[in-house]
Amino acid sequence: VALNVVVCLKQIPNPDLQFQISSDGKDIRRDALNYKLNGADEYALEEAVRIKEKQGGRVVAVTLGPKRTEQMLREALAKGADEAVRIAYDDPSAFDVGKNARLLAAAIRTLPHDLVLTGVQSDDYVNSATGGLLAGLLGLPHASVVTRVVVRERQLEVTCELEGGLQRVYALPLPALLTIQFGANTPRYAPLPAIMKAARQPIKELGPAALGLVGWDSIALPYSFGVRGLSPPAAKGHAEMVTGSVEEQAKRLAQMLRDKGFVRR
Amino acid sequence: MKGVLIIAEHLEGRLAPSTPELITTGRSLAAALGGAARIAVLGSGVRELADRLAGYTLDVLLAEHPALAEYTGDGYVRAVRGIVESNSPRAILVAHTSQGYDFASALAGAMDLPLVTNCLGLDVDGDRLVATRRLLNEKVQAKVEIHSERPIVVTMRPGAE
Repeated sequence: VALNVVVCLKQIPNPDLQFQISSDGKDIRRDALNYKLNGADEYALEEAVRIKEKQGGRVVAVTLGPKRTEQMLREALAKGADEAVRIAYDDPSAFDVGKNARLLAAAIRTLPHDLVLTGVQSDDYVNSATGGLLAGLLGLPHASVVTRVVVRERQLEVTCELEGGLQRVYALPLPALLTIQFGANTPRYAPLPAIMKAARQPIKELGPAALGLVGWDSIALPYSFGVRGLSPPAAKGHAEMVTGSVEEQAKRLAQMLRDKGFVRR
Repeated sequence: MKGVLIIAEHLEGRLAPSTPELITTGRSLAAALGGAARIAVLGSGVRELADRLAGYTLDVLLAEHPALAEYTGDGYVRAVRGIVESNSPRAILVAHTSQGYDFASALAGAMDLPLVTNCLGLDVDGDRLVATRRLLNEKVQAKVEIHSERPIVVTMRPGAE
């Protein structure tokens, strides 16, 4: 059966960078960051494209974010998405996962969707919440941390990863939502002609009105949310600096390894 | 609406190591709110587990049904929805495990509740719940606050406190 697959993508600051906190203490400094597609979302996109290639159907890549996210959406088009949609919510930090998910859900309701995919978590805010929230908001059955998807008619068989090397296998009816685990497949590289083609493809932009809202802040939330402040994390352990000549340092290190039981005499 | 509802996690008759941690966090949160902590156990044939949890001296809510024999997000959401509606806790505590965030986020979506996940610590400041979280590969610590008339769903990172 041909499936309409919606894959949610997030553009995040490369988490390998060092971060500074902005002067108001409410965000990181964003003037010199480089952004990339969130790691787990790469696997969600690849899974979406593979399902389409096998089953037929369409893949729509959806994101929420400022204009800079168009670059990521073009990457998704070049890798096999058929259509790209940007919810033009321009808050550069967008810390409130509940608000983000409600905006995404409003956009997904306007799209045909047999299957909704997200990454298991975003590596910037590490909430692991968008997928489950969307499933609840859209009333879809769901499974998280998925490493394998098999489509059988209007049914899915999925393998989910648990802690401690355990797995669980679920059967779900369609439509459904899955959060895809990092490493679930091998994402492809975009071929050059596809990159060239994607550069010319239109990106659909959804403003508040398209989601039935007067403004971005008029979405109904059952709470108020605020960032109190960001700070460098407090160091948890104690660090001992080993000083002296190289010989002295080596001796002290060897002693420490013995004391801590890493080396048997 | 002062109490704290803790959701126990278990597999094959064994309690997840995160659950006793949640009880500790839930107790101090309940004390700060001036209410009591309760723990819900969902499953089939889990009475013995419930008895063991009662040993932690807190009220245990037992939801037994054959459909809950194995964890499914949808089954848990359905069962906990009823417990939340009849208990109206101020906060619902769940471990931030693959099963925990699968359930907690879907519950928040299905019941239209506020959600804060992967927390290291929780504080009460007046009518606000303040959560401590880590961002961006642990390089940044964040304190976020939530105010709501509805129960707040919280997941706590195992081993955090």
